[in-house]
Amino acid sequence: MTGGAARRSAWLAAAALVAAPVFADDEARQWLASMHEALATRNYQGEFLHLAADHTEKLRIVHRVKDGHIAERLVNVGSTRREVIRHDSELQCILPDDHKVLVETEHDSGTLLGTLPHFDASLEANYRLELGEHSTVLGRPVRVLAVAPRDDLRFGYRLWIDEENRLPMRTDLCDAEGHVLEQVMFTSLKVGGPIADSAFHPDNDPSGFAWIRQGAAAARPLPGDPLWRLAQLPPGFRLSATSQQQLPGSDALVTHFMLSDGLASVSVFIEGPPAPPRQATEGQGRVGAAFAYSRVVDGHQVTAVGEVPPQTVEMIAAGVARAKATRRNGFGLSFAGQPQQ
Amino acid sequence: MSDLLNEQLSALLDGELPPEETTLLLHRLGREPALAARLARYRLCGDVLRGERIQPRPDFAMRVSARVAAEAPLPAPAAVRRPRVASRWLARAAGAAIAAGVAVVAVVVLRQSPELTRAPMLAQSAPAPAIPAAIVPTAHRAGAAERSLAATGSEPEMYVTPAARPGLAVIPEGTLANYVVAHSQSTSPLAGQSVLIHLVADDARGQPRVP
Repeated sequence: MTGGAARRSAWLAAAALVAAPVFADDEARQWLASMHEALATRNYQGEFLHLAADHTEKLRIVHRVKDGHIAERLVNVGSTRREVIRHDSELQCILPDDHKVLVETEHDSGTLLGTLPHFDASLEANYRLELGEHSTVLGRPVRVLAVAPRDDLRFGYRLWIDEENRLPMRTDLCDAEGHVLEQVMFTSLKVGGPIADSAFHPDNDPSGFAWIRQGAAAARPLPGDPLWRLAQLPPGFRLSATSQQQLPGSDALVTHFMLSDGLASVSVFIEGPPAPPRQATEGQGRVGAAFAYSRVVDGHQVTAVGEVPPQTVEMIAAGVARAKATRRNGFGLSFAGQPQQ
Repeated sequence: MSDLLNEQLSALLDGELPPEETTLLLHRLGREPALAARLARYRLCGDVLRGERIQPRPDFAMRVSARVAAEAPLPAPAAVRRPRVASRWLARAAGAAIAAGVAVVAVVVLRQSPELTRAPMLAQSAPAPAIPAAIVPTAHRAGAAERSLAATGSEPEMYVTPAARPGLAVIPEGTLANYVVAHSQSTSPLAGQSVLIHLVADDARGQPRVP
């Protein structure tokens, strides 16, 4: 064998090793995809328990897609009575304990199918998918699907997916070792059929609340918008979208980079200057299993947020830097380091 | 509450309750907030006693043990049903079931002890073979766990959710709520819904507040 042939053989062997898990289970990937599609496109209403480390919440969800329009309402039927109501790209968070309504509008079109993840074989570079046993939940046949992360930079799931309508009847959010962080269990669920508009009216009367909206002028370019480098992306993450938007209660225009590893996503927000009205922040945050890390880079507030472990958002935020103005695209982003595939 | 009910709650958390019983119990959990709260406490107890990661809080052990003391003990898992499993990751529920045996030992001891502050230690003193089955990590990328430990330079803390790094400032909640809502618009349906659940949940530590 010549040296060249030997090298080729070694490469082929290595490629086979690398490729082996990638095509491990098309069927499992299909289950994951159809579950996401069902969550986004089916009509359903039900109640579920949300169990986390220190609380149990009972919540009600109503989800409708009618004539291409999405309506969704999520309400805490327990103590807080908080609600989230979505009409297409507008999201209202009604916080009766604060007497406030937070209104967020996604200006990019295509929020329905645009956020439907496309699961190709590359997903399995980051996650191991395994179909488990057939079972039943609430009397309905389900299939158990494990989505196990291949490292500790992302979370995984165990899903009990309805075999017919493909909705997740139960969801366990797990860390890399399979320890459960949170559970969602439906206690009742009705799928299909028409849902009246009244189902999306808030329980709370928010008319006397303070409505905190985005400023009127959205998506205008910032003069002198700097270039940014996301120099430290965790393995498997790549840029999936960019936008500029205003956050509720702020006039500042925020650049929003969305990163995805095929399943998990992380947002990087870059604000100012001019400096946001509040004090600049360096630190970490958490809302449930969503973690955030914020730091100041060259007078700008840089915050990474995502449903990933804290070390992942910290790694991403730590890698954000202003780039030299050599190359420019519409959102002022350039990449350094290895190209993301 | 009956022993049978306790056993059903444990089995539900471990994914080992037969489907027909699961259906009945889920319906009942939907109707009875007190039962749902009890389920959450069982989960918490299970996590502690399995030596899993618990957010450290000063009064944590006291609160758990006070609740345990006020309730009937967990039943011995005499009729643990082991599911057929396709992988070690899917087998995680079975590991939890093994650990339930540890939980029984520790809970009984806790109820006899007025100190009630060392649940994880008690769990560790329970029969040794049970514990490794519950905490053996699955094969994720070699070295990842070691690296994260090395990064903090200390023993792993006890917490359920991944630990925030101590000593760092915390992002103001109002700011965070804005970011989280904006982020939820760009995630997958599954993750997005999960994020929104937390916005409406009554999470004492992470309550989003608008400015």
